[in-house]
Amino acid sequence: MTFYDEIIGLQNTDYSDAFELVTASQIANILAKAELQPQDFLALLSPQAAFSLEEMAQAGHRLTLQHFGRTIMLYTPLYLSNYCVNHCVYCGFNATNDIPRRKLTLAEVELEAKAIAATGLQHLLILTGESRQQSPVSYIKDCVAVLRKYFSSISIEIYPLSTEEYAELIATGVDGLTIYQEVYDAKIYSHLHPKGPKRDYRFRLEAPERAGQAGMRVINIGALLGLGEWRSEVFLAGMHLAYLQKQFPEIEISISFPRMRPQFGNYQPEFPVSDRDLVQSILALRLFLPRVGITISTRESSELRDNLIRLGVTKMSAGSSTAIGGHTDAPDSIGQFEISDKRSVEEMRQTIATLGYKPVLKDWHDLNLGGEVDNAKVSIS
Amino acid sequence: MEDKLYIAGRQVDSRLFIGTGKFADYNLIPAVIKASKAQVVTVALRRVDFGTPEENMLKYLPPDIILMPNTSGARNAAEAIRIARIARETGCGDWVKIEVISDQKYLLPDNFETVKAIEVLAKEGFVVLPYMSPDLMAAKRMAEAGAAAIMPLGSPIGTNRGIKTRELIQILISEINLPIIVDAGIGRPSEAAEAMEMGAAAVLVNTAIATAENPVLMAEAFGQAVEAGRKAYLSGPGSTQRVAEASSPLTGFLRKE
Amino acid sequence: MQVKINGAVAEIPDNHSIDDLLLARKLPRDIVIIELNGEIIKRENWESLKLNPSDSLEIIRIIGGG
Ligand code: SF4
Repeated sequence: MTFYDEIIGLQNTDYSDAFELVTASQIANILAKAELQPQDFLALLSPQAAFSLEEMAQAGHRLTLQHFGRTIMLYTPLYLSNYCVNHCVYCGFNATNDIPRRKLTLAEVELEAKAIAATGLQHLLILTGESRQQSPVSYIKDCVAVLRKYFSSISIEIYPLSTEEYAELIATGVDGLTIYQEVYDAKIYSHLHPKGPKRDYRFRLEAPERAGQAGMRVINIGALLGLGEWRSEVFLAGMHLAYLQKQFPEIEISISFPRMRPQFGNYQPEFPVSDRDLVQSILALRLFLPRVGITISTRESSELRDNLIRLGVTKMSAGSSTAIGGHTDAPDSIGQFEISDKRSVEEMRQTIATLGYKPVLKDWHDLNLGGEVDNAKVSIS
Repeated sequence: MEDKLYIAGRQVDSRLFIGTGKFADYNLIPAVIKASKAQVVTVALRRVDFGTPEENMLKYLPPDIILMPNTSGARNAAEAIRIARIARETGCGDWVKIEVISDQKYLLPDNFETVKAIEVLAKEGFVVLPYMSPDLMAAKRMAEAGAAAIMPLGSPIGTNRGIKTRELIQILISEINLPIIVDAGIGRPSEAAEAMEMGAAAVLVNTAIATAENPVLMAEAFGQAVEAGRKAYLSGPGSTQRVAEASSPLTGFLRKE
Repeated sequence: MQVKINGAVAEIPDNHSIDDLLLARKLPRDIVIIELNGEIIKRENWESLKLNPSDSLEIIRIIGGG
């Protein structure tokens, strides 16, 4: 049994019908409950629940305080390579896009690492496009070996791997995995991924489980909002999270809410998601799974992000660049998507503090690898 | 509404399981089973005592019930396995309640030895229902080892103190994909109803019925309490109120759109 | 000869079978289970199987229990 078996059943449901049937008194009852069931979560994603958004916000705010305190974890992405063999219709790095392709040399990786570490950040997310030829697992391992001198936690957001490959990377010093299913609706998925290994819906869907079996410490999943009908997409992503949480109680599970931004290639989201919809998604998820981390990236505007801090978000990226070498020398190279919140790490730290929260730059230190982190090179808050 | 309990693929019609220990007189047992409507009934094994006349306890049990011998007296996995195998030889069927107690002071079950016993017995085709201390990780190991249901204690055996382990049992109910049957500690019908309202699949009651002034009437009361609790659970109680504290609006910024 | 029954030493006639023993002790056949030297003995063998000196026998029955 994997989540694939579960989602086959879930995809047979007619969600639009289910959403229509939700009543105001049902929402009121759900908001009074101590623990929510999947059908409650579904109801909170309905149009009816949107009328109770403020009540959901109050409850979500309280639950987040209860489980996470007033803290926001900060991390930043580091793009290693934009080579990609996939044809994801919505992505700027898509193989058919004629953009300059590049991958960082180890020396460049080190320069980027120094620049990022100087901001005080200790949690890093490294990304590549999907090209086993240009950025094989061995290349990722080499990069991690360099990076772990500068960072206490390294997550990967790369093509899906086998259990053994995940285990290899963990042994090198990777402790987190981010992988988005992009869209849970299998039909839309197949339509948006016309070519390349990413066509394999199941292999991607089961990647978090493989990483879990390999012993990954943190797993972050998500649906790219805008690709499918958001209510059912968020529901399925939430069910995926619940499945992982149950299957791997030892893993820190979290979810991102990436929303489609305009980018090179001009894909316009077919199912636009408003700020209100995004807030409802985050809150429904928070009420359903009070203990999971919720991540919001710099795709969103600074105003929205500041408001989301009190609505259940626990992790944020800061000082981001989605371009290869973007932290050092290449301000004009093309990124995977456009950054909206362009504030520096220092500005983010100040804003978070002003809002009454504590910015957390480091919440993990692996004692097995820790001896190699050179603290002299980094400033720790 | 269709609401059936299945254990190892077998339909069980009553969510009240009863034990047959501590009855003043075996003659009460048929009436107790009838009044409670219980279908699963536990028995135990003992060495024959040559001093007292032996009675065939099985003749007091109606033929259509599911017999569940327990392994009481076992102090480790090996003894529990041995008792289970002997029990099967009596023709009681394949169901067995694993009970391994190495602590004679509080009579708390030994979860580690219990896991070991389940591993062996499940492979031999037993339908294994382990009595255990409610611990999530132990319950997971038991599920992996092949348990057919998990039977956490509400409070120590025979204490009639009610569901003191409530929070821990609630976690098992949420996290374990097997029927959770609250065993031991339930002293009153209201506590049986409480377990059922929490979402337990069934409860096992022995002492509270056997030692009641009128065991038959008490058995009936337990039967009704279990049904009432189950119905309450199915009807989706409003649950504990999350007390709302007034604070400044958190979504006001959205109105600008 | 001497055998052990339920942990206690007992004196029984030579060539006694399990059935003989049960009869002598007035134990109805259908309510007990026999374990001989740690092995369960099927009912159909109770008549033919003769006990040997220093055998260890467990005679077990079902009682009420929770
Ligand atoms: S989304 Fe990832 S896999 Fe798809 S084209 Fe972009 S970089 Fe490649």
